This record gives sequence, C-alpha cells and structure tokens, in this order.
Amino acid sequence: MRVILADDSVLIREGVARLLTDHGFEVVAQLEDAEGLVEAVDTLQPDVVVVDIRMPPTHTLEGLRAALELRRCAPEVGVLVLSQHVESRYAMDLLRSGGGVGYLLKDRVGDVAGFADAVRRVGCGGSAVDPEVVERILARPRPSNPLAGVTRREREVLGLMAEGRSNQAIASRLFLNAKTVESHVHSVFTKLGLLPAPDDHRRVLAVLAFLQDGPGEGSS
Amino acid sequence: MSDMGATGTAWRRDDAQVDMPVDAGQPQPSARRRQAAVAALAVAVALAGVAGAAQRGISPMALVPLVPTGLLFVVAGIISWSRRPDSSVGRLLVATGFAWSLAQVLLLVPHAAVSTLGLALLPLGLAFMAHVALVFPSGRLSSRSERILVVVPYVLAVAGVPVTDPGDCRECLPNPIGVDITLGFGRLYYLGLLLAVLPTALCFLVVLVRRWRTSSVAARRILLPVIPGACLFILVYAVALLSELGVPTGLGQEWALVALLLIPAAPVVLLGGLLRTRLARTRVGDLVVELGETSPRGPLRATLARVLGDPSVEVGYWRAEGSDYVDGDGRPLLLPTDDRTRAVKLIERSGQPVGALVHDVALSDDPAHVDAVCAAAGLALENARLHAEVLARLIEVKASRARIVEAGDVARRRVERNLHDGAQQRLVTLTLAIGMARSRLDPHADPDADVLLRQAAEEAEAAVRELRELARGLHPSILSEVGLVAAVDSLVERSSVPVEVCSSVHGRLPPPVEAAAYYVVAEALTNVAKYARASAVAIRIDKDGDRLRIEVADDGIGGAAIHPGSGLEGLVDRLAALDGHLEIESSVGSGTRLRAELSCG
Repeated sequence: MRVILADDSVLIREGVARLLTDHGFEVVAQLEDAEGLVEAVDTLQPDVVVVDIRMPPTHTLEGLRAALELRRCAPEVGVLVLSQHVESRYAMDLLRSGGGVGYLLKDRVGDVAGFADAVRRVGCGGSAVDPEVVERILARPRPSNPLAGVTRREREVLGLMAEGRSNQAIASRLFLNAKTVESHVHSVFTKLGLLPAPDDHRRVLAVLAFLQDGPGEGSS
Repeated sequence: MSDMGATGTAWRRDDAQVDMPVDAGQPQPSARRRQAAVAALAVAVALAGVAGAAQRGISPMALVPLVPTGLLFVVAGIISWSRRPDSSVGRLLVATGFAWSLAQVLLLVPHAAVSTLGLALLPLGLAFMAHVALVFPSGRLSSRSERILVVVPYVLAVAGVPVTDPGDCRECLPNPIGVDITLGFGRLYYLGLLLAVLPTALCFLVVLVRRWRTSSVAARRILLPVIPGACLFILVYAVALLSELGVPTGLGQEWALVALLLIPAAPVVLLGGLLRTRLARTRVGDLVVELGETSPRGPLRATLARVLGDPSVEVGYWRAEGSDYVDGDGRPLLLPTDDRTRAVKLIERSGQPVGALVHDVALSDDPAHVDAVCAAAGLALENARLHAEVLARLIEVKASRARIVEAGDVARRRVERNLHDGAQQRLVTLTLAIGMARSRLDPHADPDADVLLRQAAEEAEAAVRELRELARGLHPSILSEVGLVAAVDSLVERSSVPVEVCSSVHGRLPPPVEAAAYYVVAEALTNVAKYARASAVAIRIDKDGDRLRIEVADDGIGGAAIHPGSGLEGLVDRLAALDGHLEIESSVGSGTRLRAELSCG
C-alpha cells in the first residue's frame, strides 16, 4: 500500500515512515507542510495520506483543510489526520466527507500494530475514529440518554464499531464470534431507531451523527 | 494682546489665505491717519459739490442721491478697512463711495471733459461693487476664473461710457461722447452691451451661489449680509436688463429703479453686518457669566460653539503627560495640519498651554472675537482640561489593563505552541520508539524486558495525556481555529453534567472577547462540576449590538461567591479590561446564575 506522509516534525515523520515500512507499506513521499500535498497525490497516486492537522504556515488547521480538499479532488485516496488533541467537530467534518477517512491522536502511534491497521483500514475506504472522540460522543451527558436501553456489551460493540472497526475485528477483540457481534450491532441500531447501514463507514457516520446531533442528522 | 489678561494667545497659521495680522482689531496709527484723511477728503468732496452748486445757483438737492450714497460707502469702507486692513474690501468700498460722490460733483461742472469723467465714474462704481461682492471678506480672489471675472465689469464700465446719460439732472451737460441709443449704430452698440452685461451678471450669480453653498455654517454667518444681498441685486438688475432688451418680464421700466434703490442699501447692509459682529462680542460677557455657572462637566464645547457661531468647534485640552491634546471625553485629538477649512488657536494660561480651539477658518476673519472668547473661557477651559486629563488617564489605565490581559494570552499561546512543537512531539516520538521496540521483541524470549517496556509505554502515554490537558488549559486551540461557539461546544462535550447551549453569536469575535467569554464558560463549568451538585446547566450567549452577554445557570445547591484569589476573580479583571463585568446570583438551594457582560465591538 502506497503512503504519503505530511508532518512538520521530522522526528515523527521519520518514525511513522519506519513504522509503516516495517508493516509492509511503501512510503512514497514525505512532506513537511500541506502546500504540495494535492499535487503530490496527483502525481504519486498513493492509497492513503497520513497528515498532521497543525502545520506551517499558521499552525492551526492546515492539515484538516488539506484533507478535506483531497476528499473533494481525490476521493479514492484515504486520508488519515493526526493531531495532538482531538475535537469531535473535526472528526464529524471528516466523516461526512465520505469513506476512507481517519482522525487519530498522534500518540496512537505507540500501538504500532493498531496504528498500521488504522492506516490500512483508511486506505481501503474504511474509517478510523479515535477512541477518545468516540468515548466523548458516547459518554456525553444528556437529559434523556438515547443509550439508556443499551446493554454494557452492546455499548462496547458500539464503541469499537464507531472507531471504524469491522465486525470481524470487533469479534476477535472481544473474543466473540462474528454472528454475535452482528446481532449486537443490529440490536443497537434498532434501539437507537436507526436503519442498518450498508457498509462500515456509513454505519460509523450514522451512529456518531445520531449521538452528536440528535435524530435526523445521520440517517444518510 | 494686552487685553488678554493672563491668557496669552498664539495663532497657528495653517492657511496662507488667512494670513491675519495679530493686531487686526487695532489699526496702526499710520493706518488711522490714512483713514482719517480719506474721511476728510470725502467730506471735502461733498462740501465742494454743495459749494459749487450754490455758486452756480443750483439747489444742493441736485447732489441727491449720489453724494449721500457715496458718503455711506465711504463710511462703511473706512470701518471695514480699519477692521481688516489686510483686506481690500474696505478700500474698494471707499473707492465706490468716491466714484459716486465725485461723479455727481463732476457732472455739475459745465465743462465737457470734466463732465465726461463724471459720467465714466458712474458705471465704475458698479464695477467696484461687483469687485467687493467677489472678494468679500478676505479681499482675495480664490481662483483663476474669479480673477478673469473680476475684470469684466471694469471693461464693461469703460465700454458703457458712451451710452451713459446723466439722467434727470437738468443742470448737467449732455454726454459729450454719447450716442443715440434709440436708432442705428448707437442702438446696436447699446443692445450689444446689455447682452454682454447679462451673462456677466449670471456668472457672478453662479459664483456667489456656489460660494454660499460650499461655505460652512461659521463662514455663512460672515457672508450673510453680502452674498444674499449681492444675489438679490443681481437678480433685480438682470430683470431690469431683460425689460430694457424688450423681453416680456411682466415688470416695467420702474423695475430698474428698484435696482438703483438697492445700491444705497448695500453700505447699510454691510454696516449692519459689521455691527452684528460687534454685538457678537458682547456675547462674550454673557459667556463669562454662563461659564461661571457651568460645572466642569458642562458642555464647554457646545457653549463655545454657540458663542463663536461655529457648530464645528472642537476643543482640545492639553495633556502635559503625553504632550498632546485630548477631547472632552479624554480621547486623543489631532490638530489639523493641512486642512484649509480649519484653523487652530492655541490657548495658554500663565505661559502654560491649556488647550487648543479647532475652528472653521472663517472665524479667523474676526480673531479679536476668538481671542476674547478664549480669554473668557480660560478658567472653565483649565477645569475642563483637568477633567479631560483624568478621563484620558482612565482610558489609558483601561488600555493598559487590556494590554496586560492580551500579553498574558499571547504568552499562554506561545507556551502552548512551544509545548506542541517541543515536548509533545518528543513524547510522541518516544511512545513510537517504545512501541516499535516492543513489536520487535518477542515477549516470550524476555518477559522482564517486555514488562519494563510496557511500563515505559504507559508512563509515556500518561505524560502525553497530561501534557495535552496542560496545553489545552493554556490555550484551547479550537478557540482560535474555529471560534467561541465551537470551543464552548467542546467544553460542553467534556462536562460531566448535561449542558444546554443557546447562542446567538454567528461568525468570529475579536480574540480577546472570544477568550474572555470562553474562560467565563470554562470557569463556570469547572465550578459546576466541583461544587454545584447540579443535574443540568443552561448556557446562553447573546450578542446584542456591541455587547456580548453570557449566562451560565445551574440547578445545583447554590451558595457560590466570587472569592479573592479564585478563578472567578481573575475573570472580573479580564472582563473589566473589555469594559465588562461579572455578577453572580447564588442563594443557597436555588442554583447558581453567573452573568457576564462585555463589549465586543
């Protein structure tokens, strides 16, 4: 799988490049800002781009803007945005731009296998949402909690699903069989009053949008 | 300036057009002598006329109305000359007066050449009057077109001598070079002349009306007797000319008489105008009384504007501290330096600058009046100056408080940025290195090493987390990235108590305002989580004009207060720097309501 890295910290860039190479990725370019990213994607045709959210010149949201720009002009290329802190708002902006997106805390690279898996997932059109974002959206206190009738196990499944994991991955993580996971997912969707989504990405969006903004927002 | 008492004055001349001699109100002795001589000469001319007429057995009444009219012009001219020796207006009026008195006297001399000269002086008087109308009050022509226009009446006056007749004067000789204007070439010449006079009159009318329309209120006060009067004269004169040309105006030949009758009115109107400025000076006395009653906070500017007749007057108070001027509200006032419509009068008391009066340049026509007003307002000005200085200092203190808060914010951002680019990146790299080490190590081959590495990884992760929280506390990047409402949403997401947010803020606010509002909400939510034992929180953020109102209300146990040294107290300072305040309503058992209001303009 071909990867482009964009991060203004050379330490992190080198480290991530090594991690990904070790896991069978081919790092085709390393950029230190978001300027030439669209052009590089155009010429090098990578499967996935890993981009830091905060880069020169303004050190604010350059990476996010570049990611959303890439979604428009090269929707087939996966984009994984990394950040020192996560905001669910930015996660939702990315998720709404279609499949093949990810938004993770930078320190998730410590879990090398998990990180490599997330990059691969994004490269294959899936999604990777940071557990902290998922947890914050799920745990948000509400006067009437739509998750009130959801069992602990179902909530666990829901959390992993919202991170963008497949039923298969959830099953092996929770030592369940895939059929059980599937029935949990089905049950959660029913309890939340959501229609079952056709693919992994769309079910992530449906669930998170529902919990973030209330009914009617995430049924697409 | 001896009459200015303790108040010294100095003129700053920004406009060469208004090059007023400082002693305009008090003519030099030589000028006085010259004026007296002129007056004596005018009387002599009149007496000579009377004596000459008496000698030839002609009734002195034949000298009416030209000689008395001429004398009136001479009187108005001398007064205006002594008031403004720099302006040619006075001299032109004297010349007008002499032209007409002398004309009548010369017409009665039974000698063809002398009589012709008398006839020539009649239209010349009108040309002088036209000249006055154009240059009043400065005596200067302000444009090339005016310089051309002013010559035309003189040319027409000379051209008009052959068609001038001595009118009803039975004792006068007929015009020796006169032509018969009723037929032939004389008729053509006469009509041609009238046709030349008409557009000239119209040009004068246009110039005068334009001057009036572009004049400030203060300037119009001075132009008032002359320009409308001149316009009226021109209109009447034009109608008379049209009648003469046979254009049916509905008005008879007698209309020309009205124009003639208006001529002696001109010096009377001018004298009235001059007298009115005199009267304005007596208002200075009222000013002294009025300012005695006015408290320092009273509208000194408005009083001065009224007394000076210039609504555009600005008063600048000298601020020794900054060596600059401030207005009555303590805000900086820059004195105009290249504005031709404004003049500046610096006011001093006992050698110390007190203030500056910025006024319409038209007031410079009567500098003595401005001087008198400033002298009368001296004490009130000094009081107002002290008041303005205090206000200015208050504004500075506010600004410095805002700067302190801003400097704090800048420092926080810088530290956050340094953390982000430094320690946080290094720790992430460290986490990554540990992770890669672990992935390469077979945990079964060296279980101890694996445990150690796992512990190292956990520590590094904890450090990253703590650093993240620290950085967020220093400066929430979403606040500067997206804005207040997004940052508040992000806070709400982290709250342990359900929060309802209602906001009418759209778009961005100035960074200090966003920061202050954000910290109000953050501090309120922290307090709710720590002490309130609440089950619900409602946040309202309303932007109403240039005021931003924030309310955070909970249904907890209440009893909260702003304690010294608490986070809330820090907010009070932050809000005060933005012209805002914080209040808390928190009786025991009925929840807490925190209200903040600040300026967001």
